[in-house]
Amino acid sequence: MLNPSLFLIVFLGYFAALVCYFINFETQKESLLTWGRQFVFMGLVLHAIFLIALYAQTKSIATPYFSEFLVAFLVLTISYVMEWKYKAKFLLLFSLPVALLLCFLALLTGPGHFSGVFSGSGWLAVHLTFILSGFAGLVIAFSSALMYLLQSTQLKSKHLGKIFLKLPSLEALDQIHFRALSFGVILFSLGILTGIFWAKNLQELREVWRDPKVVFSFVTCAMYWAVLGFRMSALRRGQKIAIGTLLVFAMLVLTFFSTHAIPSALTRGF
Amino acid sequence: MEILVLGLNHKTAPLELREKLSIPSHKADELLKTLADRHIFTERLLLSTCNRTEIYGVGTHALEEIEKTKQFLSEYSHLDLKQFEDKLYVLKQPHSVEHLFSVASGLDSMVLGETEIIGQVKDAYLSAHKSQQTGKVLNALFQRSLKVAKNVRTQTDIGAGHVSVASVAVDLAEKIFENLKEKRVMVIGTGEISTLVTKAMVSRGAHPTIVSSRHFDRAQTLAAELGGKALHFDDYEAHIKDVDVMIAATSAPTTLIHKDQVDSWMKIRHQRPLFMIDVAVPRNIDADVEKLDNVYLYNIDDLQQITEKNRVSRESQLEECFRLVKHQTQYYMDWLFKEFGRQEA
Repeated sequence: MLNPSLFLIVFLGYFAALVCYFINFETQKESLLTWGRQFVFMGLVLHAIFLIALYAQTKSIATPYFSEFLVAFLVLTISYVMEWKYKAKFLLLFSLPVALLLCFLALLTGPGHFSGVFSGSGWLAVHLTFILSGFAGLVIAFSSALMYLLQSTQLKSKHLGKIFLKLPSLEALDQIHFRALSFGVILFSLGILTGIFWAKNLQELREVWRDPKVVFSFVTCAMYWAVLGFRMSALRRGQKIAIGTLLVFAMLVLTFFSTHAIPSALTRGF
Repeated sequence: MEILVLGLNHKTAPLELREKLSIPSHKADELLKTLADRHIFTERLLLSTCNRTEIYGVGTHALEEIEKTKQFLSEYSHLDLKQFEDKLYVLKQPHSVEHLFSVASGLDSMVLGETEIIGQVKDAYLSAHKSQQTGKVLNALFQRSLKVAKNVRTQTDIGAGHVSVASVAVDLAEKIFENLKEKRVMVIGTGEISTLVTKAMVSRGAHPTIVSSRHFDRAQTLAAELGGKALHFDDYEAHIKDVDVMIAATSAPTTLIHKDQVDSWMKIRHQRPLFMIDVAVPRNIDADVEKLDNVYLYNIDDLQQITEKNRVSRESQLEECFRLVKHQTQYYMDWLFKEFGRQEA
């Protein structure tokens, strides 16, 4: 029986690498880039071992989940080599999300024992901790985005009132907003992933998708990643990103309150 | 025993006279000793700033000591007393006490509510105290004046908002950027207001770049003075990526910087905020630029409107400030009567 913990380590390694790349993109701290690359390298080594072990067990590469694991491995290996050879600094920043998505799909389509590592009752606590910590981060991001909009409106209007004097600078608010948003989105995403993994078997996993709260959570999370992506890529900054955060936060609040508005038979988890 | 103040300030005397009666800090000790040698006051202190020269004293023969002090000032300034006597004010307690509290709180300053005066009052007191010219009365009075100044500042909005264009520009910049350390300021033109604003920003740690075409030598001199660099007008756009604050101050008759141009700069700058100050008349920057996200454009009228609003706001605090000053004067006078007896004090 293949140890699913190995897959979990690979997955978390890639996720940690993605976080390092993400923060480095904003802060330009070279040490984070080095950490990110090391996480990817370690992940690739373990990923290769995992693939060999999986092949030894199934004796086939024609299964959808094996293909997905293999494609994820190849995408990252090629990106890693190209980044090293051509000094393409942020290639992995774009490859890692694709690889993580492929791994996630492989988990959903693969045998039930892949997710067996998440079946312990402790994972519910981990899931809740991630979700609630993420929510706390996103509340801070919402507050700082609101303050940013108020301050920038004061500065644009040129009618400087008491709000102008009391609120911090735009730069300080932008930093608080970005950090709270990054940590909030990452923790919230981890919460969603552990929630999905926690579903003990594929039957339960299918049932989970009938819960509107889960679907809304996925949509909200994707929208948060989009906002964060725009902020990171510097396509949008300042007021527009702040407005984006406010709008997606409204969706997040709806997601949380949707638990009370839908038939109890559909709800899963808490 | 009486606390007296004799002096002149920006409200009573013109600059030419204030210059002649101004006492540099390095001369204060010597002059206080001269006053002591002539038995003018039992305690004495000199407060001299660019806007005022005042002598505070504690005496028992008020009229005589006032006359001697006037003569002393006449000798010091080499001016006939008649030339400035009508510009002098003489205040006796409790008005002298109230006056000092107002001065220390910045209520009597040319720039209402300014804080520099607190340091000047403190320095004057420390100097007189060090040369043993103050005693129990002036020690308590000046120590109390510093507390009153602090109370007035914290309990009212007298210090809220600056009242000079340069300070307001710095305030705005520090509300866009957390601070100006390592921030890049580009100045196009070498006008007086732009230089003042740039100097204010450089004093907060900003790095200046002076751009000019017609007066490049002047730009080089200014850049050297401010520790920055000079650029020709044709080259400035190549450096726009790193600029945080742009000050436009040329005498060009038409608009120099257009909305589309700034829009393209913002893309290169990854939408980092840009603070643009247009102090030129006619304006150098297209007014539509302020419609762009993350661009904050202020022209000279905008800055002057803010300074005027702040000045009016400070003036609206005066009633409350004087109420506090009166209350503290009463507090001090009560202490004085208690300490020395009502008859003597």
